[in-house]
Amino acid sequence: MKTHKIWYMCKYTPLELFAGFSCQTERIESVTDSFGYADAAAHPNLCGYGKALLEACRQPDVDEIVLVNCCDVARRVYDVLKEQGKKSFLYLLDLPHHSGRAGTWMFESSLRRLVSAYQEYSGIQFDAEKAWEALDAGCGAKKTDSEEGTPFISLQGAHGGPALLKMVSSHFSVPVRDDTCSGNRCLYPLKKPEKAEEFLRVYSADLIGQLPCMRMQDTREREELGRGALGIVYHTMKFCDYYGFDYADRVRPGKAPNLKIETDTTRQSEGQLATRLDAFAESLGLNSRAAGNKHGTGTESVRGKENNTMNRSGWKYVAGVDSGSTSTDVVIMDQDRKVVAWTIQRTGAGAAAGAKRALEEAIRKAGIREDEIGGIVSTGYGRETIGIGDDAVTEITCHAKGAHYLDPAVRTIIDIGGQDSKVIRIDETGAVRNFTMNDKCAAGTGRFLEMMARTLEISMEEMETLGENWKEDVTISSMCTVFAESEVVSLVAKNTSLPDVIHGLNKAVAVKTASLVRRVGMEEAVMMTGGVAKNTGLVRELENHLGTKIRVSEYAQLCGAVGAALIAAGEA
Amino acid sequence: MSDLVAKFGSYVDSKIEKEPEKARKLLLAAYRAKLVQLRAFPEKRLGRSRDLMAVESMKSVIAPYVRPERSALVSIFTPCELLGSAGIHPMFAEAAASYINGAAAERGFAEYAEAAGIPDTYCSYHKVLLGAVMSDVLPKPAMILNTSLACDANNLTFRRAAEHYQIPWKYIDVPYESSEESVVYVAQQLREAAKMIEDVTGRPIDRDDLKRRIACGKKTLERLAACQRQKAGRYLSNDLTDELYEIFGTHVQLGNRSVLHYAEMLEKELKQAEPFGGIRLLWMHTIPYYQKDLRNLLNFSRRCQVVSCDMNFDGFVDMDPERPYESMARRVVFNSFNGPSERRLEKSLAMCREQKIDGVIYFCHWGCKQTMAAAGNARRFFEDAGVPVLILDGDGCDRRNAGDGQMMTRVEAFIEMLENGKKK
Repeated sequence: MKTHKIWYMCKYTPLELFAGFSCQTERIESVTDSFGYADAAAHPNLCGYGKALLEACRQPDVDEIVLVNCCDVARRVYDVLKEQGKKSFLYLLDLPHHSGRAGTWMFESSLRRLVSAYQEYSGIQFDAEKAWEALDAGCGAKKTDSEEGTPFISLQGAHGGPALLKMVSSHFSVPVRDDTCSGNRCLYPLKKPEKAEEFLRVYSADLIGQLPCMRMQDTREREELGRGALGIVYHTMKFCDYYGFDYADRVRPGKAPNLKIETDTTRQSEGQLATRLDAFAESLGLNSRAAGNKHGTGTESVRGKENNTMNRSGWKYVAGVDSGSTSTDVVIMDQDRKVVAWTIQRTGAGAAAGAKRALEEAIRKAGIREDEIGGIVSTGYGRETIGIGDDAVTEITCHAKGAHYLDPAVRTIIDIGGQDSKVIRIDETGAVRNFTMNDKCAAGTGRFLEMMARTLEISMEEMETLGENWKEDVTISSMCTVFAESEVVSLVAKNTSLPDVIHGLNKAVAVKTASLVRRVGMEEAVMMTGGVAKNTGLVRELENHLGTKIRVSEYAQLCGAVGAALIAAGEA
Repeated sequence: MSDLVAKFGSYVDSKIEKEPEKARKLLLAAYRAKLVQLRAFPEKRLGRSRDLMAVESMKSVIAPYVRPERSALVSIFTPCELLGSAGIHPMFAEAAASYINGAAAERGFAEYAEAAGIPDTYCSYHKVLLGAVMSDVLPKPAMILNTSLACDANNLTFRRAAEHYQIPWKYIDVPYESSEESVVYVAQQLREAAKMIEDVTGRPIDRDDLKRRIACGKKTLERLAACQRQKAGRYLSNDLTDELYEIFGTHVQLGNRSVLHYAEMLEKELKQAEPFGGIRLLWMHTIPYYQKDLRNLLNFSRRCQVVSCDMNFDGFVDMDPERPYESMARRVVFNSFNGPSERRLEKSLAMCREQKIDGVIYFCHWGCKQTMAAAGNARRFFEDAGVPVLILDGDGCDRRNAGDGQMMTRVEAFIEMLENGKKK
């Protein structure tokens, strides 16, 4: 006899109903390396989840599929699969937007059609008793879970799946609860109906009455989501609008500290997320690797010196190494927290070799011996991989420390790095209060300006200064690096002067950065750090958009390395 | 776009955040000036029917700015006969945003919305509307009435607007399944909407007037269906905005006598139109009418023209004036934008056959997932049917996402391809 397995994607899928057909059920795992097939079968500008679903459904064993019309993309994924006609059973369940009496009535009718369709396809008679048993057993289990009461982090927002949950969990010392759109499936125990034919009436109310996802009309109950969490990691996806709104409306004003992350469900997202998750865990004091680990002990272990592996007895100097995507910066500091030497070098092809070279150069400039350095802290993208340093701390924490050291009045730090833009809010002690970073796209980062300089065939130095001498106010309207490049090419073709084009680019970056600042809320004084702070034209534009003066230290580019050195020196 | 209009748009944008009242007054002044121009100096190459619809559309956009307390914010698919009977002016998202685009001011509103956390991948029409709502440039209407049809944005925009304005809001859930059961479900919600309208206006909806509107809408759709048939083989002295203006008539203005008048005039004009041997296009979804090079190519062209837009034959269903609520419900439940994409494609293919269309332009408007995600299906569907199709990415109302050069290369190459195909 054929074993039936239903593959599904949405929490409103009637899993218990399929127990009534003695079917197994499994959620479609949608992590992929590329979207080559989905881009062609549908369109590239769709959310990663929809595209990953299309990729996953290509597998021959994913043969009996029940989708829910939960969003535009899910509906069209169904259309694409239907057109191909390769699946034995493919069904789109119509889920009403209303969960009240009329909506439940419609949903019961939807479920009834599904039962008929599956009976007809499989030849199996629906057994309401079996379905009830599954419902009763599942509800019981959920009840126990909700009684836990241990501290936790709530992962919310768009679908993440087991892969994202596992990855996020690895950064925290407390459990992470899956409260994403597909993760918080929870039905409540109900009174068993007296007659089997009443099962669907009771079940439809239970299923549609779950804590609502964002596509339901009444979402007020979502206020309950993540209540009691120590922090919220909020997951969004490009082209999934629902959770961008939810984040803006419900989470951002926030009862719990939160971090917004963005993925496209590809495995490639993971590297970029590590910095953000580590920094968030550091700010909550919940870093999963908070003890006894040479790399990645985080601020807590530096603060708690007993865990620190550095040999502090009789040290004269400490070093901070900031291994960024563009440059590697090293700062050497003495016991009085004075910078005695620094260096900025291009990272080049190998981050580890670049860091070693930069550290040697700084030691040479300081005129000291290597063994006089009592501690080294690494930061930046390469912090875990360069193999240098006693501790690895995220650049968020390091920039906060560094900026506070350079100017204690600073409360908001804007750092435009090669790969990331970030805005950090700090308190009067230099501790991180809140931060935000750009999404996956490179628009508005140092890399964007570098690419544009290449298009204009000018050096970065020219890019940094020429923009101040503009005459005609040119607007580069596109957010996208690729589109912006073609706009720049058109402007060049129209003989627009170079300073005017650069001014247009500076404006575009300033708009993008200003919106990041608004996300965390600005508090004066504002400092700009990172290599892009040297771009005076951009700093002016940003001042115009924010309506405040921006401070730029002569050590702007070294801020991360300065912070790392301070942490190495034992500053909490 | 002239430099003057661009400067005007930038000036409006500069007032959004700090002086929303001023931005509103500027927009209203521009709209009134446009109305004067449309009435006093209509485009000579257009038929009189098209002039009429342009004026009616402009008036319907002005009214909610002038008398917000007598207006409602609606979605494009909302049946608005109930509002009409109650003397309430509907303003739909796409209209509000398109006219802001017409004033070259959409950038400021889109950026305002994005700064408040609205995703940059959100539908531009809805994003610009939300910018206007949240900045209070669009004055507070009396109520909100929207359908879940045709896209996810309806689930978000109107909820956010209702929270912002703190006004009565009715959401009409349109099931995916096109069935009589769905008609009952939607009709019941429309009755609840009528109750909300009566509560807000303080007077009952005139049932006879409602029936008259349904009868008028029924006749209008019959005449417009006849117009679509008349278009086969005829030269249409038209521009890209004509089909957009008609969307007002086939949606939120349906049931108004002026729209019936438009349909009757258009039918007469089409009967007298001369034959046309150039390239005939069917356009699916919204049209980026503001792109200069596209206008130059397609407006009043003897070489190639847009014959129809699929948003103007999406709701051709029979209506029964004696059952007004069920009639309105049928229009959304059996709408070609509801349900599987196949339905929309089949309706367009039938129109291609009826109007002797040479090629289809399937426009993927920025942020419209339900259209974009069906692009692959559309390509395969029309190719299988032997109708050439161009999948064209762009933006119906936000210049930031539009590239004239890239778009024109694609459109012109497509037209060249169709011309070469005809020569064979």
